Amino acid sequence: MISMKAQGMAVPAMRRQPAVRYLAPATVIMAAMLGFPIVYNLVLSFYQWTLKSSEHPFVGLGNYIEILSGGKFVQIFVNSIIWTGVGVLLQMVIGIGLALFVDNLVRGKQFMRIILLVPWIIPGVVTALMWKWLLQSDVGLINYLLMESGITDDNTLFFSDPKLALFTLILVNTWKAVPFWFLMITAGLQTKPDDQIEAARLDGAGVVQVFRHVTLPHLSPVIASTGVLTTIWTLNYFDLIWVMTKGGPANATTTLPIFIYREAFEFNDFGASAACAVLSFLIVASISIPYMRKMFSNLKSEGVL
Amino acid sequence: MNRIAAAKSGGKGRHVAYALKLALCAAITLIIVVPLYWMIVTSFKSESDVYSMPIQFLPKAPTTENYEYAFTQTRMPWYILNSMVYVIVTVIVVIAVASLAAYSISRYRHRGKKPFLFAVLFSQYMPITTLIVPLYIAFSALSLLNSRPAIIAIYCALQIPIAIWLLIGYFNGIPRALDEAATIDGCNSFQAFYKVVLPLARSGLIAVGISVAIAIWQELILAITFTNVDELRPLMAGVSATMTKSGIKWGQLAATGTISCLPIIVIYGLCQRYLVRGMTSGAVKG
Repeated sequence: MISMKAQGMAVPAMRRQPAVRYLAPATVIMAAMLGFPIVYNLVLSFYQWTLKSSEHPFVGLGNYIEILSGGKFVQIFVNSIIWTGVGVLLQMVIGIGLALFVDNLVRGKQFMRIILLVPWIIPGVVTALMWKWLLQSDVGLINYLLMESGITDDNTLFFSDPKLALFTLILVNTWKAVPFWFLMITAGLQTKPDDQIEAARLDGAGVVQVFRHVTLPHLSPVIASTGVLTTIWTLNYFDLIWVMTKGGPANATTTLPIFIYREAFEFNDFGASAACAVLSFLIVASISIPYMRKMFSNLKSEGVL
Repeated sequence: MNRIAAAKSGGKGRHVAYALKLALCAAITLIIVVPLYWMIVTSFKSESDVYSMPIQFLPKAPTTENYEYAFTQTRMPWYILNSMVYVIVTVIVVIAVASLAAYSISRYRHRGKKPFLFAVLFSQYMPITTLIVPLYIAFSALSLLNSRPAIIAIYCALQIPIAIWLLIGYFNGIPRALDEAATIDGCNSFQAFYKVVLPLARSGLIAVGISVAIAIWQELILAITFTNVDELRPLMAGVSATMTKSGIKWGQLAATGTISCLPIIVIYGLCQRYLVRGMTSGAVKG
């Protein structure tokens, strides 16, 4: 005790310096490559910036007005909400279901866990490639099986039918993203209150009741944080849509990231692209900052901060 | 009698439940494996067999011509080399920079800690699309488009925050008494970090290294924004460019896709434990 006290007194002044020095490299890289672009992106969003002219006049909120008043934006916004909302809901329901199912298996648990994580590690570009090939309208395996088995009479146009394209993409993304939910819920189930479950069972509670009143409340923090994370990731996800449809047909699968990329690098309207990026930044910030607040209060109570 | 009957029907019920479980397991496995299987099978078919009807579930005349083509007639060897360079350099830089920062956060108290942690967390959620336009304009003004160091710098910046976050967890798990003892034995704080804490955090460093490597290997949007010459393109940008062109040759593309998955599947097979740990501790805790 005494020695610790003595150390504690001598330490602070001496210790502060290396602490700051150790943070310096990370701070410099993050400031240059993340901090600066965020600020510069905001600045750019107030200027008209195209490749056509070397003049970049200040237009105030012009880019924002242009985006928000264009008919396209409503569609893109709705697409993003469907893509994210329906997508995360599917991932969640299937992920939780699979985690509970595998957790109750007596044999083959380990095997199923290994298999179920595979889609998560397959690169998004390759996932897009595999499914685009499976879902080809004329020579794809899925259309072949659907027609051979008599479920459909004609080739289903999974990508070129604007009504179908977004849902096709959502299903492919579900294939890829379910493993993350599965993993998180499985981790959460490892600490489930077995004694409470047993007690509830002895009191005559059925499987559904045990799930509703014991397991689900136990999992709810994990579900909440996984929900926030996957919502942000899904909203930001670019690779799958880009490689499979590039946002087409006729913007039917264009979400915010796709729109931002195309505005800049296909239509060369950097100002409008930056303005849309600011909007999507604000959406993500409004979801993640309350979540981060909660994490910070957790850290404080754990004594890390 | 009654008892026996009950036991019998119970046994039957159990059999049915078991069969249902088995069927569900098989269905899940099929849904996951079939897309991969179909890509791999296609990659071993000749161009005419790829499109032949009825569909060949196993190639009638397996051939490696798609692989030969990919390696000799396309820029794929270049792409693979580029990806490897980006992965290796990024992993080294990220581990060095992030472990130092995580050590600082884990061991010292100071005023910069909270804002720094805030930045570390937030940059994991921030949309990458916020970065591409400003960095593109800045890089083109500095003639840094199509530059290896420039794209590696962005990769590092994006991976450092998550790496710091994971490593803080590992470092907090190492008793402070150990590095304090080293300080008493005459190590300065950097030596205590380098000689005592880092070796003890080895499994954490491996987990972080693997997750960074996989993230860079599959990265797409920055790659297609900041490189547009074959000499600098990583593999994913190359595959994506082939896919978004018209007149896709599926046999060749399947071969490229199979090759792109191979290193990740191998790593997954060898280090599944590290990979899973990296994924869960990064997200759930917090």
